This record gives sequence, structure tokens and C-alpha cells, in this order.
Amino acid sequence: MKPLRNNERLSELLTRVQGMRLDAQGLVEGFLSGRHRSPHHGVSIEFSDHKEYTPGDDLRTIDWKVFGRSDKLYIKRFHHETDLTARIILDGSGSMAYGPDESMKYRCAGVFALALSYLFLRQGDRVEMQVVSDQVQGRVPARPGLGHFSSIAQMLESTIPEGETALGPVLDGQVERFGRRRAIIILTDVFEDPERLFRPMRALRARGCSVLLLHVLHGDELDFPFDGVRDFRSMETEGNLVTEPQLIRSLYLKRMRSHLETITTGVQQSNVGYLRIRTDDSLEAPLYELVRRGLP
Amino acid sequence: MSFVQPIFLAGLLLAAVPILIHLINRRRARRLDFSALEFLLRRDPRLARRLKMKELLLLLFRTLLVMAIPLALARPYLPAPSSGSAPLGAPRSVVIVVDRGLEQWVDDDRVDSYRPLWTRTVRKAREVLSRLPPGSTAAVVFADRGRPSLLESHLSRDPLKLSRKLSRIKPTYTRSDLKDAAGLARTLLSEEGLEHREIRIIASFSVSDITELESLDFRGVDLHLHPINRKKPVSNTRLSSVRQVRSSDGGTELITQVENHTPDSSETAVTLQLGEQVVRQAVQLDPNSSKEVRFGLGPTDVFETAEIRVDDDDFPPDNTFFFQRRRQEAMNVLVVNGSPRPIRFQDEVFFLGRAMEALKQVRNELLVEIVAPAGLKPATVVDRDVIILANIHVLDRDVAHTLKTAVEGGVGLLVTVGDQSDSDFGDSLRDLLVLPLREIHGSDARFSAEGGIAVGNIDVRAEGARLLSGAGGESIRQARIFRYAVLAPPSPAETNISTWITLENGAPLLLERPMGRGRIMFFGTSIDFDWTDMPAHPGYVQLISVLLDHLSGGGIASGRSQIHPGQRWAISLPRDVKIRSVDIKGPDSTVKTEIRKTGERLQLIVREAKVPGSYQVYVHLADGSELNYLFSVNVVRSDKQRIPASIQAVKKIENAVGKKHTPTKRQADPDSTVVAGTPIWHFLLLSLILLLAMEAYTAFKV
Repeated sequence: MKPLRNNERLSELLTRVQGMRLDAQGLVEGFLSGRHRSPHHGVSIEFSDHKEYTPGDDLRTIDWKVFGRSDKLYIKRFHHETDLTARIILDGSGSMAYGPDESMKYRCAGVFALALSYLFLRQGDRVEMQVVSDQVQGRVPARPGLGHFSSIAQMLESTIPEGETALGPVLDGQVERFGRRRAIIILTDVFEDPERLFRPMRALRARGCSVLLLHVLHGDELDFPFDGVRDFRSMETEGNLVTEPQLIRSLYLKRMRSHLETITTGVQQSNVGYLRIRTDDSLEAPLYELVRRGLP
Repeated sequence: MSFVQPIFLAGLLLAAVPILIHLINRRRARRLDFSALEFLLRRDPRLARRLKMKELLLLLFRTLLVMAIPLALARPYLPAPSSGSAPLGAPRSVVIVVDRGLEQWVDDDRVDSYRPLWTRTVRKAREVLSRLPPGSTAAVVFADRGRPSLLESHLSRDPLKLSRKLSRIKPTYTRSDLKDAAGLARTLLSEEGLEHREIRIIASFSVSDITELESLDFRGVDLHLHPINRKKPVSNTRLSSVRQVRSSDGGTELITQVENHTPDSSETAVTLQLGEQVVRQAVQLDPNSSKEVRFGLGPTDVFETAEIRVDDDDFPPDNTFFFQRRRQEAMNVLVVNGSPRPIRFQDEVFFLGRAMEALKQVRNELLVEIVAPAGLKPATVVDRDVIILANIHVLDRDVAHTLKTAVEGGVGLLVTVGDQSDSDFGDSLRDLLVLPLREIHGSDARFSAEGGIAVGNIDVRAEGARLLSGAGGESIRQARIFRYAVLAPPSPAETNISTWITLENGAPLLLERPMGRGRIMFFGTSIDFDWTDMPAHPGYVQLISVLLDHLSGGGIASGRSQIHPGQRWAISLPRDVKIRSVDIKGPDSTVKTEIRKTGERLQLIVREAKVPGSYQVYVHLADGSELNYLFSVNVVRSDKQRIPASIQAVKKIENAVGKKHTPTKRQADPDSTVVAGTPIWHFLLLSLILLLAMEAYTAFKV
């Protein structure tokens, strides 16, 4: 595969994200102080609430102005801001190899994942990157600092998309490992049973994680623009179908719409973030949208 | 189900095309690695089956679509059942009426090179015979005109034997008659047939055949018509006659009439085969036109039989015209002497008789009978070639009528005038004169130097008169005419009158008018020495010779050589000969002859020379001598007489006949739409449209 780091689309994205920040809307747990709100109260300039003084509380936090007005001892509490651990899971199945050159799904998803990594690392967050098909094909553990960027890129470049899409089962096995209140970003074409994918997502949500599903599709998969007589070969199994695409176009589009609706419903029910990325379109638009919305 | 145009069923082979395209497309399908489709199909296994089903359905639609077109063109119909319909496989009696007539020689336009329709007729008949269920009986009737014949004299239990025999039969050169043959077939079936009876007519149907068949009663019999007709019009160039005219140099000129019976212009070569000598002339003919082609033969070009050919066309039998050297034997001349005299040289026909005696020296035979007007009876006129009325007064009305009929039948009549030609003469011979008699001109100042009128002009353009252009004509010009009859001028409509000789004052002297197949000539002065000194001139003999030639057929090889195959004709034999035997040599060895004696006349009747060609007749006499005659048989096909019936018309009649003889219950239900012979190709066309609609739906709405 061509190196992702010299990719024009990536360079462009990285240029765009220079002044941006990506915040977690929910609470995240981190080790270090950072720019993301923690569920814990701590030292910051942002007031959280008052709490009745109980022995053992730090006397420095007593709000003496309240005591003067009400003769009761209350302490002032402030939000604690912490760093974030983003776990980015990239679909590395065979179907992600569809698309010519720059619009190849795996390549585009990789570029997008690198842009996100750069954003997180620049904010001081920690980024873990995994490439998964029906097994984990490559993994870079969570580390902070921009120095981590190149190791992530190197791992993505060295991984070839192959095998069946089975992110659901793989994620199932990792839910416990992911820990609580982490940001989980999944880039996949969801060419597997959506329910199988949403089950671990719901589990992660229950554990307080921010979960974002980035649905990566090529324009051909949405429009089915083929003609003549084609021998459609699966990129994940041995199956094939020789037919005239015009004959089945309307049926294909109907089935594809139904599949997308299933995913949309699953997203809503699982309360996860969702963004669709068309690899034959600009990648900036979905990135801007993501930054605008923030992590769920 | 039967088909009006079964040839189009060959188009069903095209059904393989969509299947081949489908298979080739599958093989040549462009590979595309695309997981989405497989994923969607994997999620719904029924969908994959449905897709396959739809694809097969579409292939089926396309195949049916391609099949529907030839099926619709073949125009299927439901044949009419009749009361005699046999269950499938049941033994039956079948009589096949086979047309082996002249039309069977026509080229079958289904193949490129020449192949007669007969080949297809035989194939069809043999096919019918080969498909008969076991236990069936069959017969083949040939639809020969006048006398239909059987291949075997009874219904045979061995159809294969019939089939083998049929393959050796050749078509005839005579026209066919399906009506009589169908009648014979019906009789045969009623006498010997099994319970289930069929008549199958395999023929080149004409419109008249169809009309005749429609009138027949086929009750209790299944009638099937198998048209062996040509689709394109027959392109036929033919030779209709050959005339032999003596040319002024003593040779012969052959004049043949080439006819183009084609809606297009045609170019052909006319070839004269005279022994080993071959002469060709190219002829360009306009559509449906004819042209005269002349071949000049020198005095040394002697021949007995010869033939003239045109190039090959769709009907070869009439491309060759056979003919023989014209002979003057047995020219039978009746002279009616209106003014017999006891002194010979004063007799009206003395000089005429002398001239004919002179002609006998150079001709094989010239039979001359001279009778008085009282001896002129209707019976006397029979079998004459030329009749000369020399200075007669009046004619009995019956005799005049008989003469007129004889002329119309081909006899030549010469009327000469004399001292008995008055108004009564003019009235009683009104119909036999070229023009009505007006008056007699002239004076008695005969034999004086300035007496009489000279001959002014001999119109050598007139057919026959050309022979007077030589020394004979010059001699006649020297003659003086002292008295002559003046006829009324012809009306502008009477364009068929030709004037051979005109006097110097412009009065016509010798005129000719054709009448029916014969001709009338009027000589406006006496045939003897009374009114003219012409008999004293040497040209007189030549004039008589030319007149006899012309009146007996104008030097044409006459109607006698225009014998059609199968036609009967008579050869006049000399009287008082004792015949030992007769031999005929020619292309048909089955020719029959009979000797017939009518009064004093002796005739050899030749019957059924069925094959065109030249024939030689040898009459062996009891005294050891031999008489030799020649005749030619030629085919003439007339498109105008025979209009080919369309296949639709044949099927229509077949259905109509079938319907006519179906049970009464059917006839009582005129509103019934499900009738025998219902064409169902409309239904197929509708199916075609429906299939197209389904194709479109399948293509765009799967």
C-alpha cells in the first residue's frame, strides 16, 4: 500500500485540523489533567456545585460568603478536567479494499483515522489504534504525544485489508479491556450483521464510553452505477454472481436503503454517534461535522 | 395446428440466439470485486434465488419473443375438422391427387438453381405416404387433363411401393385438371375405402382449380390441399411460332416470334440450330412484349427439322421451338368455275388450271378440284386449303355462310370477277368480298395499243407480295387490264385491308383482308383472258403460286406445326393408297395413330404425342413404297389463362370445404368463433406484444 503519511488528502486534513479541538461531550476518565471533563471534582476554574461541609473536607474549599449569609458551612466544588483515551478501531476486512486508488475505502478510512489521531494527540490525549477484520490484524497501544502518530501510521500502512468483516465479535471480546469512560471510534463499512456490531457498542455505552460509528462507504456501493454483464466477486468469500447490473439495480438499491435504515435505527437505539463517510467525496466535510458535534 | 407459411418455421432456430448470447455474455462477463452485493444477497438467500429465477425468466421471455416472430409469420391456424376425421394413428384410406401438369416444370423459387416444382410435389406426396398409419390403404391419382390416371389401379396396402414408383414419374407437358382427378379419387374411396377417408391434393393451384374444387362434394372425406406454388411471378421468355417465307433470292427466311411474359424487361439470345449450324441473335424485350426475329437461310441451307431456342428461364419447356421444313404437299384447292366453256382456252379457269399444272411440277402435291357453281355444297368446302371463286354469279346463302365459316377457320378464299359480276354477285357475296362491290369499269377497246390500264404499283411491303418484287413482278407490270371491278373505299377503321397491286389510275386490283384464322383476297379483274392479258405474261404463274401460298397459310409453317403436347391432328394422305403399317419416330415412343377414311379422303390421325420435339411419320404402303411426313410438337404456356392461386386462397377453400361438410350442429351455430380454420396468428402477434411489454418490465423493474 502507498504510504499514508505522504497522502495529499491526509496533508490537507492535517492542515485543516491545526486550529481545531475535539471535545468529549460526556465525561471521561483519565490519569492526567487535561481538557476533557472528568466525573471527578477537582482543581479547575469552572464551578460545579455546593456541598454541605462534612468533617474531613478541605477547609480551603469552604464558601465563606455562603456561611456569612446563612450561618451554614458549604464547600465549593469545581469540575475536574482530565485527558482522554481514544480507541480507534479500523475495519481491515477484504471489503474495505474496494475502490480505486485514493477512494479505496481502507485508505480513506486510514487517512481519516490518522487525522483524528493527530487531533487527539495534539490535544494531549492518548490514542490507541486497532485494525480489525474477523481478528485483530494490527494494534498500537494507547499513548500520548505526537511522537505516537508515526507508529500509528506505520501500523496502518503495513496492514493489508483481508478476511471477513466481523468487528462485532472482536469488539465483544474487548469490551472489558476498554475500561470505563473512554472514547471509542469505529470506522467500518458495516458489511456484517448490524446487530452483531451494536451489541458491544451498547455495552460500551453502558460503561460510559463515548462511541462513534464512522460508516465508510464508496459511492458505487450507494449508487450501483454498473452496466453490461458483470461477474460480481465477493472480496471476503468465494461467492460470485454473474448478471446484468441493470436487472438488479433497483433491487440492490432497495436492499441497501433497508440496510442503512437498520443501521440508523441501531445507532439511535444504542445512543452512539454516527457519521457516514463517502470515500469518493471530500473527507473534510465529515471531519468538520465531527468536530462541530464533538464526541457523544 | 397447421401453418399457412411453414417455411417461416425455420426461423424458430433463431431461438438459440438469445441462449447463445446469454451463455457468451456469462463467459465474457467483466469481473468486478464488489462485496456489497454479495453481502446483501448473503443476508437474504431467497433474494439470490429470486434473482436467478428472474434472470431465467428474462431469458425465457427473450427466447419466446424470438420464437413468436417466425411463428406469427408462419401464420398458424386451426385446421377444420370434418366428419371424416380419423383419430390419430387410426388406419385410413388416402388418395393423393398429384398435379403433374405443365406447371410442374416451373422453376421452384425456393432454390437458387433450376429445379422444377415437381420435385417438391413428389417429395410432399412421398412424405404423406410415409406417414400413413399401419393398415392404411393409399392410391395416387394423376390429374391429367381429360383422363386422370392411377399410379396403381386400386387402393394399395403398400404405400412404400407407391412411393418408390412415384419417384420415377416425370411431369407431363399438358395442363392438369384437378376436378376430374378429385372425382376419381372420391369414387375410388367410396368403392374401396376404409372407414376413415382422406383426399390430399398436391398441386400448383390456379384460381380456376380452386373454383372447381369448391363446387365438388367431399362429404365423408377429409380434404387436405397442399399448395406447391411459386411465390415470385414466373419469368418466361418463349417462342410462339416460326414462319418460313421464301425470300426473293430463292432462299428461306425464318421468322420467329419471341415473347416476353415477364413484368420486367428481358434480354435473351435466340439461337437457331440447323444441324450443326448455330446462329445466335441477342434480343432485348420490353415487359410483356413480343418481337420478331428473322434468320435468313440461303438456297443451299436445306433442312428437314430444326429448332430455335431462347436462353434458360423459369419455364424451360417452351424455350425451344421445334419445326420442320415447310412442304407444299397436299395443298387442297377447290376452284369454282363460274363460267365453264366448251372450248378449253375460253374456259374461265383454263389459264388458272394451266398455271397450277405448272406448279405441280415443282411441288410435291397440289390437289385441285374444279367444280361448277352448282357443285358448291357445304360438304365440298370441308378440308380445303384454298377455295377460288372464279367469275361466279350468285351464291346460295347457306353456301356463303359455310364459306365464311371455313375462312374464319383458316381457309384462304380468292374471289375473281368477270362478265357475271353484277349487283346480284355483289349482294350474295357481300361478306366474302374484301369491300362492297361498287361498279365495273373499263371498255372493250382491248388489244389496241392504247387500250387498257397498266399495273401501277406492287406493294412489296405487304406480306406475301414481297415475292412479286423480282422478275415475276416486272412481268406483271407489263400486263394491261381492260375491265376491272371497283370496290367501295375502306372506312378509316378498316386498317387490316392491304392492297397488293394497284392500277396506274390508283384503283386497287388485288386486295387482302384477314378474316378469323383465314384470309380473303379479291382479284379485281378476270382470272382468264377476258378482261386482262395478264395470263399471257410469265409472271402470271408466279402470281398464282404466291396467291396459293399466301392463301393456304401465307407461307407460314401453318397451324399444322403448332401442335401442343397431347393434341390430336390429322395428316391428309393421297387417295387410293393401301397402307401396310405406320411408324413414328420422335421423343415420345407412345404415340398412337389411326387411319380414317371419310368419303374419298384418307387421313392419318396422330394422337397423344405428349413430349415436345420433332416427329417423323413413316407410312409404309402395300406396294413397298413409303410416305414420309414430319410434324413438331411445341409447348405453349399461357400465363393469362392460368392465374396462380394464393396460398391463403387455397387454405380458405380447404377450410370452407371442411366447414361445409362438418356436422349440422356446427352449421347451426353461426356465431361460434371457434371455427375450423381459425387463423391464430393474431393471437400470436398479441402474445408478441405482451412478451415485449414483459421484457421491458423485467428489464427495468426487477
